[in-house]
Amino acid sequence: MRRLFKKILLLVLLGFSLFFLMKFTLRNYQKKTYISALVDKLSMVQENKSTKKIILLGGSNIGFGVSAEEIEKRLGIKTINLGLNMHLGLTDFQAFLCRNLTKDDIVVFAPEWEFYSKPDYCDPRTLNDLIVNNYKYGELIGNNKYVIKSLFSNINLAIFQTDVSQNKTPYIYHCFNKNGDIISHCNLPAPGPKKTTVDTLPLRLDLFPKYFPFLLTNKTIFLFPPVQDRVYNKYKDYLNHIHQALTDRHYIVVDSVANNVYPVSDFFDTEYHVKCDVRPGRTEKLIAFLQQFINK
Amino acid sequence: MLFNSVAFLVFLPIVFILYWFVFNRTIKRQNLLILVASYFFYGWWSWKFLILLAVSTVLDFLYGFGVASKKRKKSTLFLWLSIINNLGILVLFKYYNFFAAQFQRSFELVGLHIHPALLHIALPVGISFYTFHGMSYVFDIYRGVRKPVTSIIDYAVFVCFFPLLVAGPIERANHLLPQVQQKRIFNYKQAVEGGLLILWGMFKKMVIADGLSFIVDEIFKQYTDHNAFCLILGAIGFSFQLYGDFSGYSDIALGTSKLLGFELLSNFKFPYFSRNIAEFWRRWHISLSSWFKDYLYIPLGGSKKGKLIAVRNTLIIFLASGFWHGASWHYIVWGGIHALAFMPLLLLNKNRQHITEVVAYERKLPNLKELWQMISTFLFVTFALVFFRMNTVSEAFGYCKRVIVNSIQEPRQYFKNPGGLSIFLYVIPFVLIDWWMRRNERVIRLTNIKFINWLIATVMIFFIINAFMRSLYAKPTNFIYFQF
Repeated sequence: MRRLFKKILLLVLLGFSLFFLMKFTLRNYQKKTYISALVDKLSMVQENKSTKKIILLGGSNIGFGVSAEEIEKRLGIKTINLGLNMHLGLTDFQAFLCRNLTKDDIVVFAPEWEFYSKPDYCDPRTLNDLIVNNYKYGELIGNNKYVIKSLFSNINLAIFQTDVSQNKTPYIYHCFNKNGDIISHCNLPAPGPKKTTVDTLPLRLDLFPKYFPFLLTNKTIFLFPPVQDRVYNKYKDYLNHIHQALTDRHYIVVDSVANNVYPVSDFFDTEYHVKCDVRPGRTEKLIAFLQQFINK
Repeated sequence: MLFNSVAFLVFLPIVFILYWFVFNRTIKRQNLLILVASYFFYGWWSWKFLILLAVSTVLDFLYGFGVASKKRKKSTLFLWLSIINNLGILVLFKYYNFFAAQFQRSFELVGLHIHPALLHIALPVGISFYTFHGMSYVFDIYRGVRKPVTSIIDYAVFVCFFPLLVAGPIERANHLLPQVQQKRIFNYKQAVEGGLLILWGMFKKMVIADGLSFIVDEIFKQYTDHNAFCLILGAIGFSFQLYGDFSGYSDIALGTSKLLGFELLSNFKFPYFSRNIAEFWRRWHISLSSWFKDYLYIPLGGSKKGKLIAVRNTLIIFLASGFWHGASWHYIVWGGIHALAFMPLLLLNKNRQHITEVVAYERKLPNLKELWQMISTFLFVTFALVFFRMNTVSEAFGYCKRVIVNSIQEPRQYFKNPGGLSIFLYVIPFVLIDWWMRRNERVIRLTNIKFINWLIATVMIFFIINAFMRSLYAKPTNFIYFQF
């Protein structure tokens, strides 16, 4: 029986050694997905650590809804769009962000409605996907726990998972341009927006400085996400209450919620994703505001 | 508890060590440990259904004494009690809602609207397997093939031996009970064979079947979005997914049993190398098809009462086999399709061809005729499995229709790069390894070079560890046959 145990032990040891060797070698070659784009976007911030820049921060609403490329062209300031997926949350990488901002950097902050009541919101499964399949994320934000977690996850190489889908989806790794704007949906037919609701929970703006420390250190402008007209009509009071609460706390807000209302036909799929042709209008509005803001 | 879970990886070594080092002195102790371990294994999934398992076990154990009575009337009475008890459990948990829905539809045909009460209860895992174990025991006593056992622990071990409890192989009292009643002594060769079978079974399930499932599920879920070539690849992929999944489970069951000193019945003998559909059924889910043959086909008269009776009996066992898989018409149609393919062989007396040896037993490669026979049998099985895989008969027809219509509409698709070609990354190594091992399904065939054996085993265990790492952050996938 000892012989059997020895053989099993040796085999398991060999298997684990091979696994960790392969895992370490292939750690940056995991299959990339839509959410992996956040790593590249954060890398852009790191690469421009010491240059003056504008950071567009939020979930997918700002990724789909504002053009950082256009802002950069018009204002001559490096602009990076970090908007990707609200389910990743906005707090996980705050320490990294703070380390890579100069005091002159401007943050355009466009949280989705959910963050106003739950600033630390994130979907653990989505965040976990980002952590385990993107070794570089943990390395980049300096979180050793994430690095270890990623090393203990499976090797997920693209070769073993050929996409059989015939429907083109914008939710792919290469979804963004050099400034981080999401452009993968621009030539695709819009599946149409889903009916959405807003959780009218009590606001927790008191927690914002804790979870978003750039509010204390950098010039920050709040931008409301685009709203479907039917959603606005239903939750008008709550949404305007958010605007009021922000101005009460002397935060700078681009414009009212009512100015961010669009017909349902302007949306690509979910509640926050406007079509490509809606983006110039939103960007133009923001540029005009930023020009005034910078000149002041 | 799933074989492909971390829990099982902890459970098995503990049971193994306790079994050979602590409880190894007497048969009673060995059996008691297996019983406790088996109940723990089953209770890990649902402790509530343990009660059902225990009651079913006790009742069949008691019926066994009644069936053994020398008075034929009493014996028959207890036999029927056992049948009613086992089939009653099956009907209640598995088939009741199906029958209620058919009942309702039949009345609606004549304009009557009734609303029979439906049961909203989960299907206990392994119910189709352990009820068939119980029935095989009383049938064998009734037929005079064996006597009832006097120890309820021995009997309970036969019914709920954990390696085969939830997805078979469906054991026979005559085969397993004598092993339960005999003290097991550790045998190094048998244990190594068991370990290798577990390794290969895990690889088939966790690497091949689960890998294929990502591609296959996507194709089947939205089959209307895919072209014909992709659908054909999806169907081929599912054939190998199902085979890898179920034969993987059976290999782990066989291997685990060998580690504990038991030899279970074989469930698969390289079915995709079959040369006709009759041979396929002698190689696919053998324990179920032989169960139906012994306890249904032969009692109904088999093939000895003329061709007409043989045809009727064949049709019955194929439909019953389909229905055993699930309370749904698509399983019955799947069984029916196989019956239709079997009939010409039966009528032409060709169903007894290729009984003993696997194809090209003494050669390295098959000849062209054998290759054609194997491919055509496989393609037929794959076509029938579309009905097995889909949720309804109309969806299955829709799938087949799309293959035909889309092939006519876009014949050039076969020369373009279709989605789903990646199934071959799994299928080709699987077929090659199966071909290499095809002479003996119970023992993994090694090469003559030790280093290569170790290298292959290390690579396999690497892939298994990789799959386990995925399950650290996601639930392990179920075995397909758990739902039956």
